[in-house]
Amino acid sequence: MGSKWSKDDALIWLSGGALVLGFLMVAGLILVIVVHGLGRFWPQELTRYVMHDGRVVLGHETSRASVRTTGSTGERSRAYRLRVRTGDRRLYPQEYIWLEESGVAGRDAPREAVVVEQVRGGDLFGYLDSFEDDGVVVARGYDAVWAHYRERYPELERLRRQQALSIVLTSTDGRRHAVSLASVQRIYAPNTMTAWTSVRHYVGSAWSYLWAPPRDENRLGGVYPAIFGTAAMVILMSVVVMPFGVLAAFYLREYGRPGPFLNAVRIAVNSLAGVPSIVFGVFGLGFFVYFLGGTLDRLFFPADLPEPTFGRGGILWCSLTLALLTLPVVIVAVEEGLAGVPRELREASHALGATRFETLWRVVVPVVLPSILTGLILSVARAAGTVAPLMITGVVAFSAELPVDGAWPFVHLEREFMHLGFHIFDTGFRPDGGEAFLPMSYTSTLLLLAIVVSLNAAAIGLRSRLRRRYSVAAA
Amino acid sequence: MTDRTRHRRMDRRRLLDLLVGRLAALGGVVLILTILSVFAVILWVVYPLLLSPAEYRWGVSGPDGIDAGYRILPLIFGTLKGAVYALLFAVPVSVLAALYASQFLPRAMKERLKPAVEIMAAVPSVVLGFIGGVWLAPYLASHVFALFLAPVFISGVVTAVFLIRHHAPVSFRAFNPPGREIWLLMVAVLAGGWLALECGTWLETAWLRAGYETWFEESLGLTYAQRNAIVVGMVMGLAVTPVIFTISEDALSAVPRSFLEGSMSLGATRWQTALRIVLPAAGTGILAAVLLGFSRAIGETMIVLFISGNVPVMDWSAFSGFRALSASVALDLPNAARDDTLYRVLFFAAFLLLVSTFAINIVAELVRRRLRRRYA
Amino acid sequence: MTTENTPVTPKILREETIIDVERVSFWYGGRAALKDVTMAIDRQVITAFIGPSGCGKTTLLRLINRMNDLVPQVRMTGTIRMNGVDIYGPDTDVTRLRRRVGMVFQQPNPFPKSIYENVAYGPRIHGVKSGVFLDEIVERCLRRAFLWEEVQEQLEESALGLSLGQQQRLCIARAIAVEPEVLLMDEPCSSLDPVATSRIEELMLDLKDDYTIVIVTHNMQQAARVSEYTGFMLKGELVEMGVTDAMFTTPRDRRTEDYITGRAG
Ligand SMILES: Nc1ncnc2c1ncn2[C@@H]1O[C@H](COP(=O)(O)OP(=O)(O)OP(=O)(O)O)[C@@H](O)[C@H]1O
Ligand SMILES: [Mg+2]
Repeated sequence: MGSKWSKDDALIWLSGGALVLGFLMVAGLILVIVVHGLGRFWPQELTRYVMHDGRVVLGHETSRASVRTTGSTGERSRAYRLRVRTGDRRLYPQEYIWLEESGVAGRDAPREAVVVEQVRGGDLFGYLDSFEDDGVVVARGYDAVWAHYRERYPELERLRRQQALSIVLTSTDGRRHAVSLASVQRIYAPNTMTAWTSVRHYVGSAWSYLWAPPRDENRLGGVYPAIFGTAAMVILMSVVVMPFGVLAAFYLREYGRPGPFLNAVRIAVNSLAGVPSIVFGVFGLGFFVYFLGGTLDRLFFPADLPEPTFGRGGILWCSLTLALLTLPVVIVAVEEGLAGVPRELREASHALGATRFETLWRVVVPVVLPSILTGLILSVARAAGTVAPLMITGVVAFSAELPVDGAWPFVHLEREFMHLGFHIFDTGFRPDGGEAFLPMSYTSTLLLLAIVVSLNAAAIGLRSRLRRRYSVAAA
Repeated sequence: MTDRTRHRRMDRRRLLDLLVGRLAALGGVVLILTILSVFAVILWVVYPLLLSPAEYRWGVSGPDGIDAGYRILPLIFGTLKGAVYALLFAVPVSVLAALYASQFLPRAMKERLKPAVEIMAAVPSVVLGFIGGVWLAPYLASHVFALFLAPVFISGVVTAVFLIRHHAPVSFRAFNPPGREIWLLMVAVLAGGWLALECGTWLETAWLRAGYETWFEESLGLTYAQRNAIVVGMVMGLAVTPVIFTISEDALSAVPRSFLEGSMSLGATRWQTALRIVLPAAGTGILAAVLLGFSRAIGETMIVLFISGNVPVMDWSAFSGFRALSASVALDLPNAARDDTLYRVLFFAAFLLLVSTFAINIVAELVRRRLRRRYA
Repeated sequence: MTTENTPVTPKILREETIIDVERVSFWYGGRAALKDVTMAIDRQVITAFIGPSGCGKTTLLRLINRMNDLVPQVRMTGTIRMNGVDIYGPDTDVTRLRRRVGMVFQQPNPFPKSIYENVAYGPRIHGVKSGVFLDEIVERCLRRAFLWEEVQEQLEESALGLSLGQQQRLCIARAIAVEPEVLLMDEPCSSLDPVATSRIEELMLDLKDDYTIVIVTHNMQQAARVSEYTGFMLKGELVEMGVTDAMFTTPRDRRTEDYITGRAG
């Protein structure tokens, strides 16, 4: 307004700052995930660092850290160190090294530098030397080897079985290393890539991330089994929680006699929603895995004992645990929907002589169907993002088998399985040497975040459309 | 239609009605049984432990079968420490933000804010834990000074922007019209954060001879663990902020307008009204919100697992890590043999979490119900 | 715009005028609530406004202490002056204005605090800190509002426990605790029974020696009983304003007459 201002206006402004701060912090963290997660598939240029001491290093910079130094005369200054990834240990002693920036005499990006992605093991950075067939050199030199490789690339899958073919790489210090074609996933020369080939590379990598199994202890490759496991578990959970949750909500709103008892149950349900997920995991372990599973084993699989079949963690028990966890979510959503059904609608139906069930089925259910859907989406989102209880009820970091496959009985409820959230934990929580796993976990984090956020956005959108419809109906 | 067929149809209809009614009642019974069984099953496992000497539970001495270092008291301590640091961050931020959103934010903005907060609440804790442990903890470890400067600088810049905006010529309002203050605030907070980073780095270079770790050791006698209570406080604080914010905001918005008008008509400013009338009137609601935030913080697993360092030390230092009940359960239960003492101790940890969170939630729910009745 | 055929003659600023409203029109969103209202309110008398529901009485009252600043998307034209100073002018401090122009609302709205804190609230926000001084203010104002006898034993109890009539008197005590010059009362008796109403009327008559009182009422007898001047409003216009007795006996405008005699709704 005027030029006058009071301390109070400033305080209002500052409280607005609190709102913005909380918001920006979350946004900032998410931005970090997005940048790291999305950037990973872009082909990174290989740099050759020539050091003053004559050493030559090939790799790409992952970070730059500042270090304080105190010179001989006591003056303080700031120096920088580069963290450089030099590729798989088969070619160089360490995958990541530190380089003093002041020690770098020059750097360039040699076009011949290639990245060899291995089926087992990490990426190798080096120069193409020759193409060998059973020890006999078939092609030599970058262009020839590259041409040979490109020619053979379409039939790579078949050639893999022929152990005889191999590609020889030279390292920066002149050592030669032969890689059997059998273990070559893909070769590319990042320094020669155009924007278009980079995009193709990017899309290809992202695609194989989604649809390929993991390699090298989850460090490389894809997360297909984790996505599949998450989806299978969530579907299984929905099958359990939806009928039960809807029924419970109908009991609470429609059939139960309103009174202190019902009130107490409702409070208990709400409080159940506040119980930490890990506690559900503990319950799941004690009840589902050991009690139910143990009983099943004794009844149906006594031959295999003491080797447990159902008496250990598995996808069924995880699903049941999460069903319990998401039960309040479903109940609350459906109850809200039921509360929104106009009373006149019900009364009109009763007035026509319909029974309570008929009213429910023909009048109420169609109206609350979207709310049920909202409950489903929200519970799926919650389940997809929950990790802690699964850690003790049957999720594993790596599993060669999927819970659903072609082997009888097709659905293997007792199997341990991979889960996207746990994959993040497994790759992101490594006491040492975890650096090499981080690109993977950033991408998985982004994927999980995208899934959960879009599910929630869908639920929010659905609900706001619902509310608008009711308010129109009420007006 | 003959009378008989009509009768039969009527009977079928009634039977169906009865059946579905029973089914729903069954659903209700199973629901209640489920809730009870959660308590029962955990108690069942814990029960033998409760019979044994108290030392086993509190772990003053380690019984056979438990790693001598496995004591539950440090874990309880760690859980509380994490929750306290989270609330230290979350309560001021979320209550102030809720006050602002409920009293000063234009309605249209608030409508847009709500889904955003809901999405914030939905971010899985494994995501927050991962980014906190892997990115934020190392980042803050190399920007310790900036961390301390940030609150001062951010509020400073925000105030400065306020003054500029106030004294700026009228044409400025075309650039940032009333009702759109929040965008300017965003710029101000970002600028404050950036300034804190720059100055922090500069200070560290100019002032400290060795790294801050040594400085901490020498000057303050503290060890700086990279995964420490401050980082946990910030990240877990962000996780509980939406909870506290949403419930407080509801409580603050439910304060009747007539109170506001009464206060304003006496010549109170909007801030005085917000602080002295609205905030106390919503006090119980905010208390419920803080309680729920606390309950969420004690049970939070993935965030503490990633960031707390999981070291069972018992001190309140902001720069040391801790080990929480929830994280211990997640880390150690997969390795505990069934019915082993460790197994029971971990069930006991879960039992503590269950009982405390359940109780807190009941209290908060009752408080909220009373409040709803009062202003309904 | 309905300025009609009679050009509005601005009132000559007289010595006894405290508030004068000149050609004020007001809109909520796009809808007009006041149309070209011009009038003056005299010092230390009671001025009443009557008129059918929705005619803009509350709106007019709330403009005088700028309570309508709190409502989004409104627009006003014209001037309102207090002691000759434009209250919507750039130099006016809204909080100072509201302190000088107190308000009592249609529904009693005591704060959810103790009786004592309700009365002490105003002085506190205006900087009174001394406990003794506050005690004195609280007692004086409660006595003034004829409430002291009834509540002196329960000053620390919640004000929400009082009866509606007591709550309304508490609100009056609260309003006079900041020592305003003008007291705006928006249908202060609408939720009260006849006994409580007559107590409030007594109170108003008592207060008018020190305060300028503007009251909105639906009750014409009440207006006749307590006020010196009365204004009649209809659909956002101030149809007629004058000495109360004259207005009720010989209204100048047909519409006023219809309303007073109950011929128009
Ligand atoms: N906040 C608001 N937003 C929109 N329109 C409003 C608002 N307040 C009042 N109005 C409208 O302005 C007109 C005048 O309202 P006002 O409350 O001043 O009437 P009133 O004479 O006090 O009526 P009553 O005797 O019923 O209290 C009415 O048509 C009303 O609908
Ligand atoms: Mg009115």
